[in-house]
Amino acid sequence: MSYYNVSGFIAVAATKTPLIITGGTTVRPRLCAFCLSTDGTPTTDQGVEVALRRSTAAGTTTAVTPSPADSASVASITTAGSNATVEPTYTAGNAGFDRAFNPRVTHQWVAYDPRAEIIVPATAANGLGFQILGAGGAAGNVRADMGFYE
Amino acid sequence: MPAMPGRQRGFLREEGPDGTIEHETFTCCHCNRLQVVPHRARPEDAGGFCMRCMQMTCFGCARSGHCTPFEEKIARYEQKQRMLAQIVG
Repeated sequence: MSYYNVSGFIAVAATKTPLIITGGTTVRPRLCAFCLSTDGTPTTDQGVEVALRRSTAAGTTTAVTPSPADSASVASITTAGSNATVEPTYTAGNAGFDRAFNPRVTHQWVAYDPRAEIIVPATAANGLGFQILGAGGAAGNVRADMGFYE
Repeated sequence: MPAMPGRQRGFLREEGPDGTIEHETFTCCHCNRLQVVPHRARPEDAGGFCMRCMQMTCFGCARSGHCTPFEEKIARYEQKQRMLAQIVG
């Protein structure tokens, strides 16, 4: 099992995806850390709402190569995409995480142990993506990083 | 809230111009949803607790009263998708 990092961004707007990871039939990627922030000067302090959602189709994105933390690791099977021009298909219902935060804030999460990790099923085209639900007072881009094991 | 039982804990940090806010989190053992524990929350305000899994659950899963560990759900889902892929081709 190896650890990989990916980063993505998208101009702030509702229902837009800055970053998505998609597994495959042979791996169960496990999300164990993420970071969310914005890079523009906020227009107001109204919160920007971002959700971590499960996807069943990756949409159209700019490919991002997951970077292994250990340079001796093999390339990841999980694929990643940034700056979605066609939104991924997300599963309806409960998001894995849904939170509004002040656009001046950097929002980081890390799992202490494997049972806290968010797991993607080993099924074709299934993944996890961050989707902006409300732009709030944010400006510029929403930037997202994910760290995952595979 | 005291240190939580189970081993599904995480840590959320919000770093802004007015300071840093830190929260404990846990991941629901039934639906894999991330739950943020509010500051000084009482255990009953943080979520539920499954006595079979001996782990924390989110409010939704606690209300349902059913125990289906997420690992089991994910295995069933993968099996169903594999079957569908075989049928559809």
